Amino acid sequence: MKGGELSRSLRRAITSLGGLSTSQTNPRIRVARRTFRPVASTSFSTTSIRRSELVSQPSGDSIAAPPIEFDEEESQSDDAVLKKLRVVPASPSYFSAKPDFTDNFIYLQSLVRKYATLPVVPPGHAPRVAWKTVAQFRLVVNEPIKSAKYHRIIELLHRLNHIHPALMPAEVTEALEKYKRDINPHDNKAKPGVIDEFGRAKGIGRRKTSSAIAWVVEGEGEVLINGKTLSQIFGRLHDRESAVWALKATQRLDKYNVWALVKGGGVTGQAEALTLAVAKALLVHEPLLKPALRRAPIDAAQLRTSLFDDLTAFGCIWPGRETKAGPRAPKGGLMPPPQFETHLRQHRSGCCPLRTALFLHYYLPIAYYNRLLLLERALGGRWADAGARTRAKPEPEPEPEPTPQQQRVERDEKMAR
Amino acid sequence: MSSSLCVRRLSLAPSDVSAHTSMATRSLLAYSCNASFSTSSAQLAQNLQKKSKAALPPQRGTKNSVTLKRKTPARDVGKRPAPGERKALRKRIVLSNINAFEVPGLRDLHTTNMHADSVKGRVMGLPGTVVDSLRAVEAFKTTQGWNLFRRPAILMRRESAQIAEFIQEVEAAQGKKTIRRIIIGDRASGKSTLVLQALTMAFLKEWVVINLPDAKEIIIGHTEYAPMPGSNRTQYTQNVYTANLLSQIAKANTAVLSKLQLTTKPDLPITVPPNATLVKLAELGAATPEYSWPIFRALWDELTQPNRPPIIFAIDGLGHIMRDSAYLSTNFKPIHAHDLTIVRHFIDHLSGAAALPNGGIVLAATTGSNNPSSPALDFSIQVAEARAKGMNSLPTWNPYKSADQRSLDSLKNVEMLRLNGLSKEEARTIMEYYAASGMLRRTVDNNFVSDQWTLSGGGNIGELERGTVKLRI
Repeated sequence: MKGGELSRSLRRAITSLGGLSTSQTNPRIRVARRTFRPVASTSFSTTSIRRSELVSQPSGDSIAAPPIEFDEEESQSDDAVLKKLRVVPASPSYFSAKPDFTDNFIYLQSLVRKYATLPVVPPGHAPRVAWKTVAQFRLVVNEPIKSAKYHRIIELLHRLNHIHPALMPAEVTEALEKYKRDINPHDNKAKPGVIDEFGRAKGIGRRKTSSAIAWVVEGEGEVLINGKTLSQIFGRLHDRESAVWALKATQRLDKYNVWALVKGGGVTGQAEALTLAVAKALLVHEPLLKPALRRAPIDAAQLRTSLFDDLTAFGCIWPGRETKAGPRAPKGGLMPPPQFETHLRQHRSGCCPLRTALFLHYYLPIAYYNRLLLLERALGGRWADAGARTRAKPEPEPEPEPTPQQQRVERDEKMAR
Repeated sequence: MSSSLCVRRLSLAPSDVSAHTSMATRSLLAYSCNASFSTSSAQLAQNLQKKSKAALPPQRGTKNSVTLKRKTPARDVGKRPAPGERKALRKRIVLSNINAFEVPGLRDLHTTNMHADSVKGRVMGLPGTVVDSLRAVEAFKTTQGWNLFRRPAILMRRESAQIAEFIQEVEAAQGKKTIRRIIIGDRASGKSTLVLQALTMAFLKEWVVINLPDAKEIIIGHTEYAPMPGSNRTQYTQNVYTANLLSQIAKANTAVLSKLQLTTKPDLPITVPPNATLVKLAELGAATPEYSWPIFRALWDELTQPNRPPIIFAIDGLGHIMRDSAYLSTNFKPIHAHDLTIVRHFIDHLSGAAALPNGGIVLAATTGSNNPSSPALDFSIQVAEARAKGMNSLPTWNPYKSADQRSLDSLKNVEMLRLNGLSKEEARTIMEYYAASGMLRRTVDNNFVSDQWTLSGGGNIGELERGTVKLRI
């Protein structure tokens, strides 16, 4: 391109800009301002339902450009004006794929930035809030939000929620409100149990379709369930143990009497409903037993029967390996004795009881044992927790000497810095 | 119908019909093609079918049968058990476990220490002679855990002491007293074992022991029966069963009965030598089943003469004889169990209709695991327990239920002996015995005892044994 042509085109551009600037000052058109306000109620879906909503709603708070108001008398010259106009949307994220989400995210980020200096409560001491799930949030914004993206919003909310309640700005409270679930499940506080004038504590437990009510009083270890003794109502010893497991695990079987009513479901379900009922009633008597009950060692016999199906499903045990005498070792052969010894010592030293018991009773080879760990994680709950908390950490391996190549790379990085 | 088919049908018709063509044409359809009187036709037809199938080309996707060798059917080479071998195995009583330790300091039960306070709540061994006698009267059951320990031993629990007291009372009354009791309790609570304990003490005291080991065997129709001639309401004797009972009585009570001689002249169809001992009489009855019932009656008459020892008469599984038996009368009506002579005899003594002139004990144990439905017995137990508690309003029979009046009447005045669970001290004693026998490899401490006591439903001894000895994990 020649130099003369460039100067000519520049000049033309400048003149056109001058014309535009005059038109933009026209008071008939509202100037769009950039805003961080979250605009949830509107959306830009092309579906008919959303469109109808849009039509019915007054579109005052839109992220699109405001409507142009044409005066009657000046309608003649509108064509000329329109030619000069460039429509600017209210929100810059109008052109992004997920404008509402982006707006919300930017607004929350700005809040975090704005109140970053406010004091916060220590982690875990903020009021418990159930945030909307990603599915619920999608319904609000009507945009295909991925859960990873929503998680970034949740992180911001979490940070804002940790601002000290005494200094929580109203603006933040209002912003957080939008992301809370309609009903906060953490507001439901269980009523503390009471011991009545006869010394009874009541507990209710449910399992599958069985429900049990147990009254626990101080006594000598007598148990009456539906007016029957433990051996009358449960033929299997395993079920009897399940029913009074809370007392057995805390070594209080001879200190309390249990009187219980149980109905619905099958035998095992009833026994396990009683487990919970008795445990709850016991906790009324001795609330400090709660951690003990949480980590109550699971009985080997109980394991063998109740987890057998799970383990089979997981591939730890092949079906048909259970014999009358107990489970047999897998056909692949047993673990070599020294290795077994070390593992056993590690797990005796304070691993979760589930693993230890299974390890002993199934005598699993290492491959199955690893699968078992996965299973445990899948099961979640108390065993996984207990394992995580008390697991003996393996000794950290000494770092290997850096190779000459690695040394060279490090040196280069230092030089670059 | 095509003409060729018509002709074929015609050819199959009998000759006399085909002779009259007009008739034949009218009744053509009445003849079927495969009308044949030979029984071989079905087999032939099958063979034909098979052949035609084989002639077809092999099916797509199936294995060619030509290449497959037909397996010869596996010949059964297993050895069959001899007649009665299985039953013998099923009924086998094992009273010793050589892998169990001998318990140090285990004393035997004797006439001297039977009533002593020192044996109360202790485990006592059974003397060898008594064990033989108990085996003879089938007092040991296969369901009991005798095969777990070195030698038979019993726990002298509270109810055992009560039985010992009964024996003492009878002896003290000089033959004026008959104690009648029905032992009730949960399943595996030790009812049959309590009967065994009573028999043990009676053997030690040299009483005459007559035991009907299982009432079920009497009424299920497995032994032959015959109406007794001259009985007003027809009674039925069970000759083989009675002969077997007599042999058991002779074997178990040899020591006592061999000292006793006939004092009366029994009117029997066979000659009995005068001054024969009662063992001889019983053995005679065992040897001649056709006269076993009259001989049993004669033996009973002898035993109820003055200056004879007291009798203990026991039965296990009372519920079975409180209903109709499996036998049928000539009218094809079920025979009530009380119409069987041996049952009748027992019921008369249990209900108190007949007395034991020399005193004794009549014991009946109910059964928990093999419990037949006997509403009369259930109701009688309720009434007796309410009466024992001194309740004002006794339970009443549901008028919409058909009542077995004979059973109800027979149980009207019998007291119950309820077997409760063991106390914790007794549980501890028996568990220490298990541990000393090496069958329970745990430290028997308070915690373990109370755990097991609760898990066994409040000290049910059968459940306790199951939980501690049998179900070791």
